Amino acid sequence: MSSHREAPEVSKDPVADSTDLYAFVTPDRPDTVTIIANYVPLQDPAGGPNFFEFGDEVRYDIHISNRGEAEADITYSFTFTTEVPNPDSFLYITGPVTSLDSPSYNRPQRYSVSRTARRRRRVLAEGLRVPPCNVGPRSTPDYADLAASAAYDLPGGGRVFAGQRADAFWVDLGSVFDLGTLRPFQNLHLIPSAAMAGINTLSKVNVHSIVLQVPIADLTADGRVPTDVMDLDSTIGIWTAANRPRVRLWDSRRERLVFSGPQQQASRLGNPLFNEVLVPMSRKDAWNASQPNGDSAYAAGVLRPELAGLLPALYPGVFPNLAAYTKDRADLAAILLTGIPEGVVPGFQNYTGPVQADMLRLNVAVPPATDPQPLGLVGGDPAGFPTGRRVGDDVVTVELRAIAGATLPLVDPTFTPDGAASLVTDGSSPTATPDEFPYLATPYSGYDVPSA
Amino acid sequence: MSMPSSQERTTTDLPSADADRPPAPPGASRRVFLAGTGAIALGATAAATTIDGLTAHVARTAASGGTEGVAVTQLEAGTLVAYIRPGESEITIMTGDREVVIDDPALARAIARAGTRQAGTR
Repeated sequence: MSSHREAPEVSKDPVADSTDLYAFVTPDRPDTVTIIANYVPLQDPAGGPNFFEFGDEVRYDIHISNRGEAEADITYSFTFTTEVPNPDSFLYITGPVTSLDSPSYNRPQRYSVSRTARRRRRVLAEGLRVPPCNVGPRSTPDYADLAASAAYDLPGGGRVFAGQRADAFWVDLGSVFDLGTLRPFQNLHLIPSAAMAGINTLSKVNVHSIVLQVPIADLTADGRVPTDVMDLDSTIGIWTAANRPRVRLWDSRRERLVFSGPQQQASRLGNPLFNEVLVPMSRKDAWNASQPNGDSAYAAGVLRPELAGLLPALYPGVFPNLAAYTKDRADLAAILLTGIPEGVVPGFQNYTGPVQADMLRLNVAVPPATDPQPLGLVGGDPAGFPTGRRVGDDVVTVELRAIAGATLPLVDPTFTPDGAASLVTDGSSPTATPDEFPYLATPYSGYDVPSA
Repeated sequence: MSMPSSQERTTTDLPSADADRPPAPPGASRRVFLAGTGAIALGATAAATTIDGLTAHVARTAASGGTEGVAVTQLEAGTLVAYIRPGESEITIMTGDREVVIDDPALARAIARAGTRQAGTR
């Protein structure tokens, strides 16, 4: 998936699992950028009695690079604190919760937001409340309004929300991890079966989201709002991370966990599917602990992606041109590691310089699209992925087709993509999302979506 | 106690979510660290130990040659963890949001010896 359970260690540590990252110039507030960082993946809505929450020991970061060095020039950090008003009850919710300060909410979380720039940290807000999970109509009646009350204004024109939402990412997990099966084309698979429509495995699962909306001028290097798409200062790099104290230990005398040491990055995420698909199993945990400006060490997985070799093997005869291509994949390197420089796509660039780094690259001078295309740039819509990533961008299809060779002619005109390269898809479809803050739908309730 | 030469290396991460925390009190010594580690069980070669009540900056004092004693019980509540990799003399000490690395073969051996004792407090 985008980055759900993408590495062995973080798959055992969901609260520190950076799951999806979205960043886009806000359509309904085009002087701002909205950044959505998701964590705690694959939540079964009925997963009580201890429902899902952010980690108190985890520091959640959204990093911005605006000087072309793939270093965090600006960091927004979020830290959470959980209370237990009624420690004698086993219940997560002890009565209908109709307000965020309801005493019936027995695991209330509050959080602080800080902004660090040039090594100076400023607390933007403290004591903000996280709504409870959507348990059901008796525990959390009128959940939409309850969650809406947890959207807060930040000083300087920003907004923030943190809490459970419906996961907007979509992919056919059950098929793609079954030897690369794409249901619409599985009749062509090495182990064939009748073609069928794809299934969105995430259509009924929740996630925990941090939604941050900030003025564009707060993110650029010089505090301007660029209007020239070709201005190199108009592109910022974004990645998210989750960090834990380096030591976690059960204190048997005090009968509780204790934590020591500085924060250690447990996961990070820039482009969707980077660690998941392009980093080999043995290095995924190390990649999660590393910084983007060291990603040249992982460039081989981009230049010669394993999946590009698997597609011709799994779908015999379907990708002959891809199979015959032996040069490094400069197209993927441009899309994922440096941004697309001027001269590749007419009138467009999202280049951040020669430093190879997995960052989501958002050209803030590209205005929001009036008719967004899910395939983003390759669908003729420069406001979509890989110009940042909107909630509705079909990144699975875009990256699948790119790896299949559809984007190679951008940098190597001698290559002719296979016919299938512009057709492959897992066939799954998205769920509906709102077009207003926080841009992710109300989470599924445990009562309405019980475990199978 | 004579102080063997120690090399100190500290790491901090920016941004620190704990930047608002009060600084840990100065004045703890390597002797305090030794006294504390004697009270806990350790692994044979790779040791992770906790000591309640110690949040002081051990290595800062060690590097400066300080020998003043501060009883563990007089220090602020907290946890200290020491980690020694198999076959190495470096000791990584984590306390509060700090990490300090000292290279002290004698201390590493002492901790390793303590770690090979039978489990239990003595």
